[in-house]
Amino acid sequence: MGVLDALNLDGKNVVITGGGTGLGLEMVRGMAEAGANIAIAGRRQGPIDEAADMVKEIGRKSMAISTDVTDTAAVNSLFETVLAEWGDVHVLFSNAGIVREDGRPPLWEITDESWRIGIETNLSSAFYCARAISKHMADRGSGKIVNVASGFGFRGGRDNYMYTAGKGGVVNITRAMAVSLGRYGITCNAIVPGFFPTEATNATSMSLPRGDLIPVGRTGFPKEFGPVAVWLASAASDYMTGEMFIVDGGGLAGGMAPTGYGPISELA
Amino acid sequence: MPVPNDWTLEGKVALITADARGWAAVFAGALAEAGADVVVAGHSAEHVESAAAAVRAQGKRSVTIVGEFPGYAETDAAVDQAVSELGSIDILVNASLNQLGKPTLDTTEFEWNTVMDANAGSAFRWARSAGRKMVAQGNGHIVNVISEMAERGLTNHAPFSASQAAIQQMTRSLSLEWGTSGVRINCIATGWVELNPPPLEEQQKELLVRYLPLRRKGTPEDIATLLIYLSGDFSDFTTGQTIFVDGGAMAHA
Repeated sequence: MGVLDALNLDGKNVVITGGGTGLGLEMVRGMAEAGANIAIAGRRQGPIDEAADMVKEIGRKSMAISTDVTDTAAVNSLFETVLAEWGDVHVLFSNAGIVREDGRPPLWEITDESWRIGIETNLSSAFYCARAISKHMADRGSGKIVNVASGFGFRGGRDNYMYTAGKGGVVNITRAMAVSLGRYGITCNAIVPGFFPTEATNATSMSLPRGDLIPVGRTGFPKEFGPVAVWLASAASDYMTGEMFIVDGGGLAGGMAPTGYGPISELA
Repeated sequence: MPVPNDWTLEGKVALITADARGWAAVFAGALAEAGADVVVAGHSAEHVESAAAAVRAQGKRSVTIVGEFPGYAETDAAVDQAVSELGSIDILVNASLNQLGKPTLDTTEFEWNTVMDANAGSAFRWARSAGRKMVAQGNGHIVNVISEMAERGLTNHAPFSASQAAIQQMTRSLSLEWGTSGVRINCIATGWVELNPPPLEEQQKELLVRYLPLRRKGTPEDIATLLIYLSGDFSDFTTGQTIFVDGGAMAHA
């Protein structure tokens, strides 16, 4: 029995939101390969069905549950369904979020509706999911909650209000949950991705990713999140809570291109 | 299985510095378990040897270098020895710290210089010596195991906490300087970690342990897998970071 055995996720049940595409899909793959059963929630049925099939091909149990993470009834129902089927949820990954902000208008043109949707999707969804499953985890005396924040949770983004505010909120609710839930055996951490080209980011109106402005000279590969997800979901990370696991090619270590978006192209 | 296939350091050579805390044996054993051959350097023959024994117990090769490393000449020579005996240097783990707790009004100039040099100075020298080879080969991983006093202050620890912050800031700058050369450098910042903490019931008699969100002291094993992650090619998009493994202490108000 060595230290690497702690990475084994055999028999662990994971619920992940936004698990059908992008970084979420690669986290699903990594955790399934490490032994986890995975319930995948997402808005669109097609991608989450495909992700669930992939998990089954790897040899684990899976479910695909279409869920709007800003609808608290739907979120509660998601966890009720998984608990009814599998009995236990050991790990929650709150990964759903929207990068896109329509046209990125100036502050004075942002509608109530845009603000509400942005905050609901990027911040409230993490709260709704944790609220729905934390009692179950506390009753068992163990659980792991992983939120997905962003470099914009630490630094401002130009004309980027809801995402920046929402992710900043994710950073600090992660700390509050860590400090509050530790006594029930629950850890809560956040992943902080830098720039990873995905279907979602390709649809944004943000400036194009510039690999040459990232300290390591390239954008990230979504599959680089597999090992991080496994580590955070497994007993290997049991002494870590309230922390930010930053994987951004060095973006936040420097100052010019905080999260990989090119300030030079934006200044033009 | 399932230990994920990508968690491997097979074919890599690591150099780790060992101090009297005894953590290096756990770290060196973990690196070897993941497949690395390991050079252990430090001034205490006993602790260097116990770390090397942990490597051999995993069936991997080890080299021991017992001595002082006050200048580039010594760290360069140690790195050269790693390359000549084991073939390369792919991983550097700065796991040796000099701790000093003393009121500032009693702290001598010598003590300030000693603590700064043994921590920040030493980490820089080792990084420079290993980095020379790593930049040339276009690949390398450096992990500095530091204290979370890099971010939080502590009474009677001005020189020590300054030395930890210095390592953290050096890490950020080197991650930028060597980012496009394939060299990754990160810190693991530990909270209240002990090699063999007392039983939980005993620990929790201490107010500060009960104050920790996870209500226990950590062990080197608690950070061993993170060390493997940061030492491997599968963490190549992670650089310039300090990852805290501290039972939640940093999250606390």
